[in-house]
Amino acid sequence: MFEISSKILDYFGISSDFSVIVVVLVFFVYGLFALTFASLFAGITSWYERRIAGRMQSRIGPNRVGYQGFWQWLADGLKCWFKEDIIPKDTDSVLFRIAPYFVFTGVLSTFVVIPFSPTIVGSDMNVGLVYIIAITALVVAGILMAGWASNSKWTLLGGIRSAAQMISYEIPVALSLIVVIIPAGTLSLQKIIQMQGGAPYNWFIFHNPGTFAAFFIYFTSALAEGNRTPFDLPEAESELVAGYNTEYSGMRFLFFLFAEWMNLYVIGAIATAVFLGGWRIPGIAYEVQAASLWLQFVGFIIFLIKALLLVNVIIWLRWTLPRLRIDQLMIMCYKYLIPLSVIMILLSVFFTVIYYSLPFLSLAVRIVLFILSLIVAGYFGYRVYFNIKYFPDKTYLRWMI
Amino acid sequence: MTLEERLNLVKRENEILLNMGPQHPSTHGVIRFIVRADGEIMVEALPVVGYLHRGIEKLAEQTPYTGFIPYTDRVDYLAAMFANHAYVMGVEKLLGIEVPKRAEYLRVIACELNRIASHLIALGSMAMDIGAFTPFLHGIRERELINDITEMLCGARLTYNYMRVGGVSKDIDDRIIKKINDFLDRFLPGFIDEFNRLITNNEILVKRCVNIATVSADEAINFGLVGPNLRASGVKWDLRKNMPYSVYPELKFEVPVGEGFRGEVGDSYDRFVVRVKEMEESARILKQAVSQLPEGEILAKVPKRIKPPKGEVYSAVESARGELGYYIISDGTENPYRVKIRTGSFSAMKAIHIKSQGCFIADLVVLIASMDIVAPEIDR
Amino acid sequence: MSFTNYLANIRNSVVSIFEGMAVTFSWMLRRPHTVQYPDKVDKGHELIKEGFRGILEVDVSLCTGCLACQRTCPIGVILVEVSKGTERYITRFDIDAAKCMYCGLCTEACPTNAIRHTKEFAYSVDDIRKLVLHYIKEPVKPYKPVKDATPDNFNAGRFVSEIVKNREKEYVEYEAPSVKIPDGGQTEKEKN
Ligand code: SF4
Ligand code: SF4
Repeated sequence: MFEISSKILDYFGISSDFSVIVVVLVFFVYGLFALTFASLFAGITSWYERRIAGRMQSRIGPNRVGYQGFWQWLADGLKCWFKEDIIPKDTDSVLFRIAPYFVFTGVLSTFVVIPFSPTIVGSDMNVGLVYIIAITALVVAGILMAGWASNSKWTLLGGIRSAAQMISYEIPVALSLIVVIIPAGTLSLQKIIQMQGGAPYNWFIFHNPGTFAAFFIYFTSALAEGNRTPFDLPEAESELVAGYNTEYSGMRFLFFLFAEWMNLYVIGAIATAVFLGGWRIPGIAYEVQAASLWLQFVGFIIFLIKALLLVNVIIWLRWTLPRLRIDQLMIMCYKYLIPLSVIMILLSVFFTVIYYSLPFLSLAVRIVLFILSLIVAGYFGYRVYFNIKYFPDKTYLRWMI
Repeated sequence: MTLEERLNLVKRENEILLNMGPQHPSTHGVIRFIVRADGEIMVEALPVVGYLHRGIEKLAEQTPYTGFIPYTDRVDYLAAMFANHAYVMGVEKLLGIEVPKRAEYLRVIACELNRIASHLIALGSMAMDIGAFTPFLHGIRERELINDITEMLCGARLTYNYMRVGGVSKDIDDRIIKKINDFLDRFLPGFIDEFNRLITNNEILVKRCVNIATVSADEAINFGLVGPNLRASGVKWDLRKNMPYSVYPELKFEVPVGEGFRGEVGDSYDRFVVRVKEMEESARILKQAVSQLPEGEILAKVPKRIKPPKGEVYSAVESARGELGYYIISDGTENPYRVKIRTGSFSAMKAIHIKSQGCFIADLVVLIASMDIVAPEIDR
Repeated sequence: MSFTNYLANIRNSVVSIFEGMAVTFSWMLRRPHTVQYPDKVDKGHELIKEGFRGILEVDVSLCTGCLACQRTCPIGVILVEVSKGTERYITRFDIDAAKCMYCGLCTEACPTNAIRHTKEFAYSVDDIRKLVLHYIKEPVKPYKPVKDATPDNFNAGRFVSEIVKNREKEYVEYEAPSVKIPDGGQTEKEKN
């Protein structure tokens, strides 16, 4: 954003005395943009997720408000807005009131470092990844507050569960990101993207077997950190009624959901930036892309597509899998994900060192890994085909009904 | 002293009292548990029954024999055919009526369809309690086809009131037989296999259910568990085989028992898998019954006013939730003198109380679901 | 936990999640089983099956006034009044549809098929008293059963559709029609 501000200063010939005002203005506009983007994303995803879930369960899903129910999210939002904001008696009312905003802010703050294109980014911090890991701790605080302040045993259990879960899962998230930081040599998200190529085999996910596994470790632990199924224990509706947000209603309740759906994009965006090449366009050098506004826009679209694909996978996982138990969740974190990610760090170090002396090996490993994942995707397609053939229901490829 | 006060006396330090139900997403109707928990681990979950008590047994004393059949539907709304069947069998025994062969076959067809429908709900809601929503709706989808069939067969989708003293109320026709065959074609290899791939073999579900609330064979007998819950503990006891009634001796089928599919014999996962296997067997029974269906009457000659002679009778069928018994005393008038209903869910509640000790709260949900509790069956 | 066990756990999880996702994805490519009731029901989609036990209706012209239905109903929601005297008249035929449980026992008891189920099931009203359906507007002579008659190919739903149509109307207190008795007898109503 600083570059953009200085460009604006230059363009209009404004004297540097006013630079503070311009910088503040630019940041303000960017903040509004990020907030709008996140809110729109959260709203539309809430509709989209229900449609997808409907199709998976051979139902239709919401389709009454507007074309195919597209405005359902707006209707739901308005409904929540107009609902009475119930604050139960005997709650710790200050904490109860501010808890949703902690959660919301915690998730929204990650948009500071999540890039949209080579220059459109809130702040290209040199400690971007650390910042993300640190700022999301605010979510834990918010959820714990909500759980405690509601003065209900179910919410308290939900709050405790989520605190235990999110704090534990920050470790594998950080460790699996380190796997990429080793070959990248930087913590800044923009630099990490810059170091990857546009073509798939130049992405960091295929850099070496360590990063390949680290992608899945990151994805799993990010799901757990974001309280998504199969790790949605804090809000396990069949056990804890609704977990930490049982007592909430109206707009405050909506803020929790907002944060949850925004978090989907955050998970997808970080994975895209770190592992999947971010906004890089195949065959176009970084400098060319950074200079042209159009190419930046194309980069933005590419980034969005990749992130949305991951969001789809998250939704899809949610409607496929059951939920773990709290001790299994901890076992999975401490016995599986953490040791594995440590091994992956070692692997990554090993390969990074080897690549210095044997550059051709780098390309070979990348291509092998890429082909391997293509094979897995092909096998997956075969299994889907098999399932369709095995069950007598006919296929029906129209998405809208 | 109220229950809560009594519980407060035994409550130790560090324990919290949690009130689970009567309105709770996973208590399957209005069942209430008072959970004494130390953090996530329960000390015990004390079931409190009686929230759905409607005095059906008492109502029987004011209703004529035929008029009570619709009430039996309400005892177990997920498997109403069996309640019909057990009751009319009892009255027939009192009257000494021989039921026509065709009617018996129709009863078996209706009951087995109902067993599949009931197990689909049981499995689906167990998966849903564990957190997977999709298997539940896939189960509901198949059950809807069964509901369509029963709608054509007897006119209702849930409270069938299909059986009459001496037979059944409506005959089957070719359209219904075709529908049943269509359903079986998609159900037997197709749906069951897909269901297994989707949820039964899912590692998370397996890990959630294996070795949870293991009920050994001895314990199961002592608790008075019946049906799939008993068979999952490895006891091969099925009224259709051991105390044959209706035309079951003429049909070939297996009785699946728990073998410790992934863990110990009699754990929650065994109860899940035994139900899946029972659905397969039911589909097999249906195939045979539909192909062997004899011609003939569907209603025996029964006097218009049913007045059984003095006496008492116990008749039991193997319902989807195990042995469902009707104990009927007749004093020679038009109304029964007493009707006592023995249901499986009630005894399972005690097992839940004992087995919940030392489990996680999340396991209680699995335990309730795996016992396939239906609230009106407990309280009647 | 042995090391092979550890690896087996990872493998099982990955394989079973993979399979489960293939199943759910395959359902994305299929037509939903649900229909958009009531506005997007396909043509020819049979919503209610033949023989459905819906709201009851009475063809009073077929009723013999035998009271069999009233006696069979386990919860007593049918009220039939027949005037005494040499010439019998049916003066009242009410069914409380709010209490009826659609068991169908009354239809089986009826000798002439006068009382029967329709396919109608959606008839919500704003006043529960409207659910007491009155089938008799003026006294009717009971039907004389003909020997060996086959039941008419009746058009079930004739009467009920009228009731459903009129459900928006204000509730008016029902007055059972009184009978002018030719031979000077009294109706039930006048007696009270
Ligand atoms: S359907 Fe059953 S409840 Fe309704 S009026 Fe007839 S006998 Fe009574
Ligand atoms: S409706 Fe049928 S059973 Fe009822 S009084 Fe009339 S003829 Fe008799």
